[in-house]
Amino acid sequence: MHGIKRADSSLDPELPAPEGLRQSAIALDAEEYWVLRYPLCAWELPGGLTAAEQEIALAILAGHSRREVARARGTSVRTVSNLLSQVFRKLGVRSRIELAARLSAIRLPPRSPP
Amino acid sequence: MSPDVPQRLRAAALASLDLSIPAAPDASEARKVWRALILGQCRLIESFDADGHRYLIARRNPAGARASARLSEQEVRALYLRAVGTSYKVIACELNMSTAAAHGLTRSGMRKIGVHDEAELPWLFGSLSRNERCPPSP
Repeated sequence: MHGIKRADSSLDPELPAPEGLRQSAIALDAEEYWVLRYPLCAWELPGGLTAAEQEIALAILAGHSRREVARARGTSVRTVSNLLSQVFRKLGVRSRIELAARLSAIRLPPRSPP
Repeated sequence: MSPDVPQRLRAAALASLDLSIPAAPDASEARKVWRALILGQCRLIESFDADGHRYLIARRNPAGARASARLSEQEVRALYLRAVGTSYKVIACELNMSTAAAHGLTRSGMRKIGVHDEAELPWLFGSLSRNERCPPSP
């Protein structure tokens, strides 16, 4: 897999720390704990989406189902699905996770030469 | 653990990281704890959201504890692949396993680091594209 370090089992797994990570230690009932905190993602949608499409996209990214979104907006599930399809088409993605990846501006590491 | 401990832990966690206090410029200690979580040296006890932030509360594992809390290399790969929008079918192909196993691997990895929703993964891995890229495979 390009960009993934093909480490053997003796090497530590690589996972970057979240940006804005902060840490503290607390004690409770004679037990010690670590506390980590990092800011949650704040999605910024690109231009070209209608207000309704933006609303749908943000709700879906937040984890709401199409049924929940439809109920909240007073529309049908089909309407929500159609709007979501339009969002996907405009942004060139095919799924919720691709949408999240696109908005997070993930770039695959450069391919290594053959 | 008594029933009210989670609530008290959350309150203590919120108080310990008061948002009104500016963050220290050096985040190396925080990264050490994060790494300890990845390596299974500490175990995630609670994770919750407050004030636009994710809070993780962890406790050190006793010496000799099973390494099941450690994030495996396969789990990290699955999380990375999912973070870049890869379908479970392709992840399964890349990791040479069934689609169900790829799904389970991603979920177990997410659980170990307190990620509630896979849509958080691209955001979490966002720093990978900015300053901590994995080197190209040999």
